[in-house]
Amino acid sequence: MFKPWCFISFLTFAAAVASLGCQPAGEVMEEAVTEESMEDSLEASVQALADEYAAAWNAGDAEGIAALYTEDADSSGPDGEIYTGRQQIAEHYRELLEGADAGTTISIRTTSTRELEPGVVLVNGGFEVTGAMGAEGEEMPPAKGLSTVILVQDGDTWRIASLRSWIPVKAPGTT
Amino acid sequence: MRKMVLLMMSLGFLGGLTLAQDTSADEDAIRQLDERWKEAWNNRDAQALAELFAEDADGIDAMGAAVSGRMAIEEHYIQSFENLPPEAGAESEIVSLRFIRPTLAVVDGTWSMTGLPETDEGLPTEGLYTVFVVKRGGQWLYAAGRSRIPVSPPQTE
Repeated sequence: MFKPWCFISFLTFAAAVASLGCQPAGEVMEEAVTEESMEDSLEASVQALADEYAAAWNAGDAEGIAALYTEDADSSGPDGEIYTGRQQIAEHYRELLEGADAGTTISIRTTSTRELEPGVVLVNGGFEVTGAMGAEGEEMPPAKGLSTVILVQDGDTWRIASLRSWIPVKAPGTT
Repeated sequence: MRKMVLLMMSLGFLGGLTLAQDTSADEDAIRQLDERWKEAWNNRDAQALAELFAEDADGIDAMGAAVSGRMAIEEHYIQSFENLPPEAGAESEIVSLRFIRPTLAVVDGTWSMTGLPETDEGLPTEGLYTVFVVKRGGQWLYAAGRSRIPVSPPQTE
């Protein structure tokens, strides 16, 4: 059962009070500060998750990426196929990381985060994959894409419930 | 559906039974949202389109252009319709729908546009879309819309 006030007080006072119950923060000032630090903490958690994803990708660790998803998550990358469930998702990443994206490096930056409901956030970001090899062994140009991810809170960690990423097509007349 | 209900009853999973019933009504409502979108788009009704979105909704198209907030979304549709030939039409079809939570679902589908002049040949006329829908105040609304043109990954063999 998610209690927003519990979450808020937890973040502010957890460091000072080892075993904090579920008391609402009493002071208005404290609440204001708390909300701010909750946002900071959320941004930090989201970036930490993106970093974990990147680290697993760069290590070629498909299972490591899949572990960042919820058990019943869905995921769809630039090829448009939708993979459902952690197992399918792991298999898909294994195919990628042993195939077209073997030995590549990904970097991810999050551009915006907003709460859809308590314990659920939508995150927009961009990614860049470098070091892919073409059919003739030539190095491919970096693939730059966008992603939108739904994260759900699971205890004190966040997991990917749904991910969509795509490589933007060029507008006509541009190169 | 009946099999599912029976299975849940045989397991004594009454909570699950209630959820299954609620979900089908919600699923209908979500599918209705897409029908209303098509109707409003084909009527060039930017205001009706904007009303399908949550106040804080955002949209990103296949080219990466982003709009944020219901007002910006309405403005985006107004501008999109300005140079659109009257015969241009939009079609879409839902391919999958999954509830992430009782009040949040992800919907994937295909879209296509017809009746565009030859000069716009460079523009993609079909692709995929994903919308995240939320139930707020008893009403399902688009929280986010994404349009994607699938690309095949580079072949290594």
